[in-house]
Amino acid sequence: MQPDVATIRDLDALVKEQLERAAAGLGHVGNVTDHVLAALCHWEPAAYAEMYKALIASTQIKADAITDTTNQKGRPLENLARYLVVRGGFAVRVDDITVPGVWQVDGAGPIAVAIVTSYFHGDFVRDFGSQVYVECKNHSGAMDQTDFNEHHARMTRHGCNCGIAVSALGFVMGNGLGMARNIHPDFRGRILHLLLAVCDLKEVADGAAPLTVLRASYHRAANDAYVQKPGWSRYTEDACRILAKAEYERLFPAAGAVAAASSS
Amino acid sequence: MTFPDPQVMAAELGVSVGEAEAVVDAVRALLGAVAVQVTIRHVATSTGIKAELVKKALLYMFVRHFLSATFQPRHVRCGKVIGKPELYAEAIREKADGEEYGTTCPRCYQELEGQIDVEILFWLRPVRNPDAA
Repeated sequence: MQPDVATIRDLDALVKEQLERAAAGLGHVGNVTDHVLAALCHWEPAAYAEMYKALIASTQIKADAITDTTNQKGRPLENLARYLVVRGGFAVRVDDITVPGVWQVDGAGPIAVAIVTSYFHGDFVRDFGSQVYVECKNHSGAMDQTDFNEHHARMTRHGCNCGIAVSALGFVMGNGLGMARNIHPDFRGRILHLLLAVCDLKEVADGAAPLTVLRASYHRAANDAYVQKPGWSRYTEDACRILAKAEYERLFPAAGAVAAASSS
Repeated sequence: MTFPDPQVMAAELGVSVGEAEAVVDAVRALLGAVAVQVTIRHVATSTGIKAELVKKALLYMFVRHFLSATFQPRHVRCGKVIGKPELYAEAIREKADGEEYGTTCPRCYQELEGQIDVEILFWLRPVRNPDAA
């Protein structure tokens, strides 16, 4: 190997070295490694930033009877979630699932086994299967227990024990009640729910690697973190709504000023 | 154009802050140059830091999106370039599978099968046309 030539094999070596450093307690699996994997999966921060901007704009749309919610609200979140899951290195692809008579279009696809088993845990596929189910909700409120039960039912109907629920305005949970009650027992029963809301999507827009954010969600499920306030408070509808509005004002300063003037 | 924080880079890569600073400064110094390619040799020569460490630092800057990259095929055995640069590494894999580079190296005439390395060329700014770069 020539010392002044960098190859893809050198990138692999960098990943391995990072893992060894993490194993030796000298660093974290995550920082560089997750970014390397995203780069290898053609992650483009600028492309994600555009989709994130579209999502933030869509969260401010007040849907009425004539609003095309699928295209104006659903699609921006689905595009973003799909990009995050595939280009972030978690899944090989996410295929559309269209259920006749149901407007929601969700997705499922094979997980990137080599990456996921290395970075989550070695028995991931044995425990949670090799297929992930992705469902997105960009509703005017948080994803509630009924939505979550439907999500869970669809996951199992499509043969997936691993599901990613992305809800722009968070989840109805708190003090171990609501959805929080199900997630850890399900985890122990070998069903994994990864929850993402606008706060997680913002972290990625701010530069965190997608796998870092997904792994944080995995650890919350594994450690029953949603029953503790620090674990669930960022996912409440209020917290997500305030964050989405702040992000809207940051990304669309002119529109934010008009909205502020009209509300006062 | 942004550059990594040398302290963060040093911590994440496990190198000294001084080394990280030297590499970042050397890359930053290229901003005024006509050529925007960042080569390991140039940075190693201008900083006096070992090429292996510079390589690691440039790979880090690439994966953290501070540098852009194109890719070109090299023959593992003789180390010579055997084809045009591409925007994506996969394009080289596909061409190699389709034997578009032939079955023997045009430089050393030895077999190419399973012997094609994908070299990463670093750039300060995104490259749209790898041929013109």
